[in-house]
Amino acid sequence: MAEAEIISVSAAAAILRDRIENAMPPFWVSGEISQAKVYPSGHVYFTLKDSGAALSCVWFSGANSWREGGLREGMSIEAMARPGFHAERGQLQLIIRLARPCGQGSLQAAFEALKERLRAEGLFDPARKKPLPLLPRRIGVITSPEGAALRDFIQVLCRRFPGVRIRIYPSLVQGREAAANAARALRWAANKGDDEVLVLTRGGGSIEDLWAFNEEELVRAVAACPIPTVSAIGHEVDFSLCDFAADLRAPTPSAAAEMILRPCNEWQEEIAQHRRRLDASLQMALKQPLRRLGLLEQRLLRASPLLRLRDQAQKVDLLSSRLDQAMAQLLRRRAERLGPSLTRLAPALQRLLDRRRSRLGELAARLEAMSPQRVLERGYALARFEGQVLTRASQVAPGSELEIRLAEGGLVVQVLRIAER
Amino acid sequence: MSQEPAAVPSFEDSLSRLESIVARLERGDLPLEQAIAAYEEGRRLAETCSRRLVEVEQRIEILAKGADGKPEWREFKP
Repeated sequence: MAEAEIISVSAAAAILRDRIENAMPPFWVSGEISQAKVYPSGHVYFTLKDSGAALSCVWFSGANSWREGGLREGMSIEAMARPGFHAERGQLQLIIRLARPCGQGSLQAAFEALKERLRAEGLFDPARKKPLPLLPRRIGVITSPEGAALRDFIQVLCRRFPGVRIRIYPSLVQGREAAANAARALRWAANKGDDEVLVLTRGGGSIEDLWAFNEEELVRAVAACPIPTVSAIGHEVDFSLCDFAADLRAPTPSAAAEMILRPCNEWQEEIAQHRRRLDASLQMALKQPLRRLGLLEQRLLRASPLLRLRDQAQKVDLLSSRLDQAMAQLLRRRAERLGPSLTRLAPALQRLLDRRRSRLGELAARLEAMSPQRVLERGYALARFEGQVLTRASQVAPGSELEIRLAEGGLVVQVLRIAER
Repeated sequence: MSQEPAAVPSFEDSLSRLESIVARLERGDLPLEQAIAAYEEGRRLAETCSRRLVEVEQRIEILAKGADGKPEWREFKP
């Protein structure tokens, strides 16, 4: 053959496929599951790995067995497999025939061990959880500035509350440095920032991607944070140790935003409702006393001592005039015998009557003054400044805020100037 | 870094005080003078709470290293 034969990619792939698929008979392999995906078709794709290598795996129609075996990411399994070659993607893969757990994978084991240790220390105690502020003035977020998590988080917050204040503490969220880096950012935020709630967040990823949030330093920093902390790591199904240590766990970054901030219009509606209830209950509170006041006024008028006194005064008048007459008669009849000293009796009686009448007048005036509401109803107003009732203009200065009580309702007014008179 | 004056009651405090005043008034057993005083305080608290909902201007900032190496806040555009 003078020239080397030229073959197509497909032909080359077919040769490789043949070699690879016949490279070894079906064999048992053990490793840890990572990046697993179960498709509706029933096929399961995952990566099987150990500390030195990783191999793509496909388990055709393995979904049921996968679920029945309780398989999940981070788990170590023993699988029966044969080598395969996926020509379209040029990818070597293991074709799984069956798989079973063989104890837990190292990451999972580390997770469980640390979780148990920290739980025993009380780091996850419900009693340690701090309540979140109802309406945080400032929200701090520890995350990657480039991540989708931050974008989602900010978007939801801004939609719910136009006046929101957010502070971002940039941090690595993946890789070897991430846990220490995020712990440092969290401590810095807690010490130097003035946020009322801190959110530690990161979007979804593989169990390895999210691993920083299971590392002891970061978990302890979350537990020790004096400011209420929310943890929103990965997706709904991902649980990190930070989730257990935080005061609140949110399933996703958007959910975290929803959990820490109630929409502004809901707050406004709630406060408006309180206002309506206040108004209604004041009306209720006034109804009974006003009715009683009305009744009392009527009874006062009817049973007024003024009236009784007037009757008595009339009686006295009558009696005194009869007395006067009788006395006059008597005096006339006995004037000569008893002498003129008796005539002094009439003026003394007159004085007694006068005293009675003036006392009566006083009582009437005091009764009238007892009803300030009636004063207000005549168009007078009661002015108060800092709780003091005003009687002199000199008690206030221009600019003072006065409360004016009217017969119905009141006003808050500001003094423009002080009139001389 | 702005610090709120300590005397300003928190939104929580204002709201829970408002709630308890509404509940107390609704029981309807307060003497009139106290009812009016409670009402006036309730209206003030409701005012404080609503102001708190509109007063803050949106601000998104990110912590960055300044020219002098010290941390500083910069505006963040998502």
